[in-house]
Amino acid sequence: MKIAIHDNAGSFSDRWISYCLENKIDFKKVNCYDSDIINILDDCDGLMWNWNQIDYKAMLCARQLTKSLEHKGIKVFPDTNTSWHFDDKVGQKYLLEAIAAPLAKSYVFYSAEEALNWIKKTSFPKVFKLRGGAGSINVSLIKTQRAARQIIKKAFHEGFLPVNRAADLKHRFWVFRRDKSWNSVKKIIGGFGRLFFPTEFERFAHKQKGYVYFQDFIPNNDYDTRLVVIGNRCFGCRRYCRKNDFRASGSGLCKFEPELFDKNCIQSAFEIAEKLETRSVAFDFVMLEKTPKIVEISYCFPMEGASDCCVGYWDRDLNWYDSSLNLQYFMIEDFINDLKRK
Amino acid sequence: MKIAIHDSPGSFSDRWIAYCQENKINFKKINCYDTDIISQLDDVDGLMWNWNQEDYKAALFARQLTKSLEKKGIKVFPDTNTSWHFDDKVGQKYLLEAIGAPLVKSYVFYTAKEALDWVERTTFPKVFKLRGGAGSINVSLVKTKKKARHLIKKAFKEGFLPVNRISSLKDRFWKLERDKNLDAAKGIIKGFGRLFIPKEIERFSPNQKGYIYFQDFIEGNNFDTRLIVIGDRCIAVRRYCRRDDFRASGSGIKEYDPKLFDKRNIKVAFETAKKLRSKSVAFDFIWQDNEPKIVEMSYTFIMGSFYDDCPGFWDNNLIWHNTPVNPQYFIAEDFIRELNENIPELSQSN
Repeated sequence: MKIAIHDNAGSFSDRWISYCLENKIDFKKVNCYDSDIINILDDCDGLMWNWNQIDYKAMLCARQLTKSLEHKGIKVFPDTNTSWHFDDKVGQKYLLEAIAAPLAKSYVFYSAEEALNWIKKTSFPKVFKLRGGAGSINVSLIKTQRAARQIIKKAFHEGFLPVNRAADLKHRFWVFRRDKSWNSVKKIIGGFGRLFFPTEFERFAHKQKGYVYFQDFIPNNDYDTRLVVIGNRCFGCRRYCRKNDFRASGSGLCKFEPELFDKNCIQSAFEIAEKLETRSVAFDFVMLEKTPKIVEISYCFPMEGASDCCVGYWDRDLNWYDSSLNLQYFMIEDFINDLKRK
Repeated sequence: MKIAIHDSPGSFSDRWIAYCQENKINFKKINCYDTDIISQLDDVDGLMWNWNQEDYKAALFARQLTKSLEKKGIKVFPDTNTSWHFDDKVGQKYLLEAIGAPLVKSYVFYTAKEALDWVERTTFPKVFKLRGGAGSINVSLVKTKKKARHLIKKAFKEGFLPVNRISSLKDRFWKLERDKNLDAAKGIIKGFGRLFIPKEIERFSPNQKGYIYFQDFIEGNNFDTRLIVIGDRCIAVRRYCRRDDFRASGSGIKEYDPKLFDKRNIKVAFETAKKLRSKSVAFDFIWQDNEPKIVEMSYTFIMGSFYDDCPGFWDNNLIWHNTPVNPQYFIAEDFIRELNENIPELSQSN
């Protein structure tokens, strides 16, 4: 058995490669962007590739390559079930509704007329989101019909940049206030630079237009609950909102004590992950009158920081295990086991 | 058993609805763009929706809706296997290579540097294509390294408009020359207008950039062979190239005589469709060294006389059936049959 790993320093591949070296798994490093990648993978049983939304190239080809390799009988992490809805809140809306998962009520419109009709019938505030973007970028609270109308006009006219430079700079100031470190000062300087010099992602990303997406605003949540399910393990992180802000994702204010987490929520996360047939999924939950509701999902997450700070995990029977964690090791462990079974 | 049909006049849905009415199939018309579409489909077993590349809105979510409904246990036409690679030559390259289908050698690059390195090593002419676009729009012959370098720079800088207005106007002139009728003349006036007033799809489709795709140019083909496989039927049209042009798709000059088609080619079409697990696929084949090679494929195609005029079809034993052809009925027929097979208790009561 041999696997291929798309080697991209700083991504999950760092740890997948260490795992292979430690466990004497036969692997080769590949570059999924090579024109003859299909041919290069001829001698492999599996491919692991940690692509994400800030790599424009991956967004152009990762799903297509994955589906094609699955046709060839090559196992991929993340597989189609795990990744097709990644960084796509519109896709997640359809999918979570289809499997009857408890999604915070979401709305999508493909014409200005339908969207404008809807705002006359609905209540505010609502949360406006672009379909893509991590860490609360591209998310804002819409308090009035008037603000909603403006958003809709923009969505069906010039569209939205997938990167919000001003919001990004604001976020850097927020990190500075939180950390007061030299690093966060550097980030602010970088943020000012970014006002004038777009990133590679921004140069290649498309303007978001032709649709508009809203989600019900669920009040009285001063934190959200992030649960990551990998195979039969579940990890929890409670993320508090920024001061005077409704967004928890990206705040970096986290707690991990197991007693903070609602067992119903964990049970629900396991059940949904099973229905989705996903190998790795992070759920963001908020509470609506004691019922956990999903805000969004993602197959991947930052490698260091929160996910490494978890102090243990629950198994499928909701038993808690105190242990230090390496989520990327769990992924590859499951992947290799699945391959061996095959 | 009940199905839902996304009703869009002028699309396959016209004939699907006629088929349901003639065969007393219980159906309802729905609008897939509705925000509560998932719950609207609660009482149906299947959904048929003929979306295509001209509808920017469908491109935003048709695949996502399909995948979600499949998870819910609702059968969809076109299903994921049939449609995920539609209007996406990059996806088709990976997929056809992966299943070992005879694709004309294709190349894709995601950085200017790799593409420019390749230009130094390869031979010309090559065919440049955008990943999307029907009827030979966005396809051109690149004869020199210099021209290739120019395209690569554009692909990784401002990108390409998904609709090429100039080539679309040229196409309209070509149609006037071919048909010499009033409609074609009107088309030219429209084409001039389109130079200044963009279509909806143009306003909403992003520029194509961040990748570049080339295909080998195969000489000596003055026609291509379009084979459509729907279930165990294959219908065939030979399409001749425009004069002094290498592109056959969209030319409108065609022949149907079954004697024109090589059985080996039909066999490859059936085999490839089976590997793709596709319910409907139109292949464009050309010949290279006496082997049929796929240029591209598509789950959908124009409706009307173009294919209705086919005098019959081959079955998967390569036996010719001289019989009227209605591709949209074939699709509905297969869809309903499979639904009935999947719901045995219902098929008994039907």
